[in-house]
Amino acid sequence: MVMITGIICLILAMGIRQSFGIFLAPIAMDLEVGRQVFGLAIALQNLLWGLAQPFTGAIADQFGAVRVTIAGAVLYAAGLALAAFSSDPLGLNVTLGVLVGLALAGTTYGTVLGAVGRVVPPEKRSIAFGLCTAAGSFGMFAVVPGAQALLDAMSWRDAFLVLAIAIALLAPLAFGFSASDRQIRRHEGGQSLGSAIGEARGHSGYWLLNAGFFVCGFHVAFVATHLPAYLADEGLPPSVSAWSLAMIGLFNIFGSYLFGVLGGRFRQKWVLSAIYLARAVVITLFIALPLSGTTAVAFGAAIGFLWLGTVPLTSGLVARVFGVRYLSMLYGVVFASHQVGAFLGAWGGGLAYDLLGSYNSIWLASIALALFAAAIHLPIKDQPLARLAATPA
Amino acid sequence: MRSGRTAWTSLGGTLGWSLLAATLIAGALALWWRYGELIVLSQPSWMCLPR
Repeated sequence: MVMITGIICLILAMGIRQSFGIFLAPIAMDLEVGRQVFGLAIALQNLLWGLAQPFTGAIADQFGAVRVTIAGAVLYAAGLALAAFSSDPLGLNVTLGVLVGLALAGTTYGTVLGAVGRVVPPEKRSIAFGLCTAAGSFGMFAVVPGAQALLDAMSWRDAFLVLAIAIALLAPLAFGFSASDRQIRRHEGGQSLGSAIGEARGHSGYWLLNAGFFVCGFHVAFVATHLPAYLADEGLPPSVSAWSLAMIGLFNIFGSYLFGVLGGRFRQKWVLSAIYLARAVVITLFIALPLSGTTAVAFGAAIGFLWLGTVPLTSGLVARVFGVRYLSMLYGVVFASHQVGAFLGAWGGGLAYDLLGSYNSIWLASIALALFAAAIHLPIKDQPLARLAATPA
Repeated sequence: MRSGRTAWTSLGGTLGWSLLAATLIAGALALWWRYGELIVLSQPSWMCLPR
């Protein structure tokens, strides 16, 4: 039940979040505001999501995933419903920016993987995390065109209300995490939150995981934000961009699951290193080979396969080394690093283009960062801490 | 007998979930076929960066 709850939670929360981009044009036109107004609300949302994740994770670790998911669902639904009645930039920033940003921290990977990790035996944890990540990937793949279909049939305000109703369903569904929350109460009186933070801070591997996930955020945000513009610059039609994005979404589902499975069979740090090395190879081939519709779509499939496979492995490695008692918080900190990387990837891509007139430098930076990430995962000490030998992980 | 039935149930469950996943993915792919180009065109920042 915990797994099914987590899967539905991630499909809806990640899917709806991914679809906000298609609302840009109708909202900007209807409210007669510049595109940067909507862009600022979404940027605020992503930043708050990352910054709030360690704190919502800590709350979930202390008080349970049920309460955090219910609070997240209520905030998410309120954010979408109130956005439907927004008439000015401030309204958009408060609803889509602040409310939905905080809601995402309560309804996505940090909360869900922590809840799932507590009920799944360690040997099946990686595959369970892979399944949950694949569900989020499916949501991102399926909800975007689904929301576009809604926009085709109704106004953006009505579409937001429909999405608000859909996300509100997570509130009653959250009780599916009850079995996981009972595990928290079973282990009350064990390690304190402060001690868990201190332990992670003193572990070099935790810092290396943070650095690696920063690179992951940089890559995915740069590619998702700038690939269609890059392809358009090179004279390729929008249909090629559409299929490249669709292939990223489609192969991300398979990659998320497969790398979760591989993380259960091989040392997770090696698989992570291999993913980043493969990203370096894929990006190198993409910019080295003559660009065509075929290479663009093939690049989408290849980079999509490597897209979120890092999530079950990174979260699995955190759980393996530090245990699952404070997984939501510890993974939340690593995720915050991912979001900082994502911010720089999206913004840095645009900045580099404006300054240098092309994306070449940022592609090269992406390759260098991928090689850096591939290297830094190798020395991570991935043995469970001695403390975990005495108590179950 | 019992283990055979368990294995069969497990296989059926796996096939069922796989079939459900394949159907959902095929449905989403059909939506991309129908709306993919519109999605790209509806995000003007992708198409209107200074050249």
